[in-house]
Amino acid sequence: MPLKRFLKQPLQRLSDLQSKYNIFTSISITANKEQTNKPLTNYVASIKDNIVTKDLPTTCASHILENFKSPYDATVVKLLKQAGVHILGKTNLDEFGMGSGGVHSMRGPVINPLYPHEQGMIMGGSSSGAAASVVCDLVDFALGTDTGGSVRLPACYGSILGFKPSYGRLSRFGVIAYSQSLDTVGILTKKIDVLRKVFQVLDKYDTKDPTSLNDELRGLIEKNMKAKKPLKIGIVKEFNHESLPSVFHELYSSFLKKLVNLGHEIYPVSIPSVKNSLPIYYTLSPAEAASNLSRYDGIRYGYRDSKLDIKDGVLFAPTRSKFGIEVKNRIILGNYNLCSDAFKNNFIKAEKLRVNLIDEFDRIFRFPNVLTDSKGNPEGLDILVVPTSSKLPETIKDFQEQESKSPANSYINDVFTVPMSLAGLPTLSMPLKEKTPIGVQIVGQYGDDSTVLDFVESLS
Amino acid sequence: MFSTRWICRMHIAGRINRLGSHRLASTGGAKIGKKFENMGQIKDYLSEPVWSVHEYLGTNVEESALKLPPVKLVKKLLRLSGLPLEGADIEGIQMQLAKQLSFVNRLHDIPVEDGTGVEEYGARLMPRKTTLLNYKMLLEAVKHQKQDADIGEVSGSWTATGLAAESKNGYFVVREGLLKNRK
Repeated sequence: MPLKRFLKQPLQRLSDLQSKYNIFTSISITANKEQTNKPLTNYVASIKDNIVTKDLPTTCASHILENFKSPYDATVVKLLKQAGVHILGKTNLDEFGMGSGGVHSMRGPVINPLYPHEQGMIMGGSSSGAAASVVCDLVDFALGTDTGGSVRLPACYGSILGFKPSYGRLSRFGVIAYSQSLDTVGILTKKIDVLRKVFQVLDKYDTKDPTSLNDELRGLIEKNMKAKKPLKIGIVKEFNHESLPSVFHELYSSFLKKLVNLGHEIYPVSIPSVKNSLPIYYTLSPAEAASNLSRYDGIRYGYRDSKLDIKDGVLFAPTRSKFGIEVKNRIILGNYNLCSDAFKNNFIKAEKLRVNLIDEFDRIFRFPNVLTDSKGNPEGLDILVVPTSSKLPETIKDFQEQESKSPANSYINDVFTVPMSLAGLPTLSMPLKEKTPIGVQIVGQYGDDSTVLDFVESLS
Repeated sequence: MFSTRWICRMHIAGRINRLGSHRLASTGGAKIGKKFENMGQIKDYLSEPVWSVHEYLGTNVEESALKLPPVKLVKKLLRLSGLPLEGADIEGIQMQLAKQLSFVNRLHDIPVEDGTGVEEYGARLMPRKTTLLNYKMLLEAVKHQKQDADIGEVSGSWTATGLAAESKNGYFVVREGLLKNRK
């Protein structure tokens, strides 16, 4: 939506939507001076509240960072501003990105605008507010972050596009770390042409991010990866779950039929390690989180307990008690995995199994992986098509009830998204039907983001 | 007895299994089968669920059957996590951790494919093969290094204590002493 159109919208609408769906953590109603001749002139965007901004607070939806204002902009924010984007506000999320429902926020849960708000349906998380801001047409696009599916799941539940680029393509400088080996900035929008434009602006090597994909490797990808039509498309056996709703199967069959009619070739494929992905993910990510979140002591920035810095012999415990329950649970599990007793059995084992998974993906793709030095499989596939979610959105009440019985009940929401996060693959969730919370993911080889975008664009 | 619908499903599944074993050519752990010739084959393939998320939830055993981590371990983890012991719901944390572990410990039974020669550091999404740095390269890197105000490298570009809730004369303040009374 161009800026002029946005400014003509009554602020009342924004206020109404905010009170119904709890989308933003902060809003900027001051319009920038209109800029011309920029690649994203007058586009309006929202930014997930775990990406730092100079002009607005960055809270990670946590009491620990309540009122925190960064002295600098994240690289992705800086690039957007330079490209002429107006930032409408920061969006609500699961605290520090930890959750798949969008319910673990100090600001309360985000409600899915695809449904009447009285129903109180989950948006999916953790980029819940980002997705809701797009669904409500308040912005042209939103930036979210995706560690294990946090862009793709809410995009699916909001029936919009959610793109997690290859790990390292978009800078993480200024993205508050949850799990640094997985965290990826993602883009949510309704239009593939907008997504492509935004991606082009952000897809740059950043010297400030040690995990950023360097120019040499970007050049190699550009030189070697040119998918030719018709594409060879794989359907992964291990994603064929009993739990998929029947309505998914109907839409999925129609979608595949469309691909066949367009001349693409469809192949069965088996990637056995996919089944190990969730336990690998829930071993590695809490361990990284425990390490990353150890910096919140209240001494240098963020919330600080008004009276004490030490309690019962535990340094900074009075301040750190302000973490939400889900964050605390993951920190404790992460520290367990990093303890000498469990380190070899859990953490190292999970890392080795992650290597196996990455190598299995390499064996089925036509193109080489520039990180692993795989040669590519000459008979291999160009893309994979994978469901995004094993179930439909549920009510916030049901979600919380299930989660309180066992954390595994919410962990399994990531079952279709986590494998590609572990391998860092470019993955785009697209709706199978308008205004319907059912989607599929289009997956490419590492670095081959352009084939994924081209393919989705060819379907629109 | 099986219902007609169930028998049909079994028949289809049996057919797909045979088709599957014929189709799937080995390329190590991952396999690509032969191209589907028509939508009927695709639908048959999709109609055979391979596994269920309930396999994960199968680890979701009755609370009474869970092996709870000892209280001593939970207290150690709370200390490592910088979380308060006083007022902590130790029993609740024991139960939560036991449930989490019953989920992630599934890894213990999975064999690692070790033939690749790739160590665990390959799990990082970074180039696996890197060039060793030498002295000349380090000097070259230093020569081209520029101070960046964005990351606070330029002297005076930011105030270190500017965001602290408490500071004194440009220093951070830690109350009750940093090392005293620490367990």
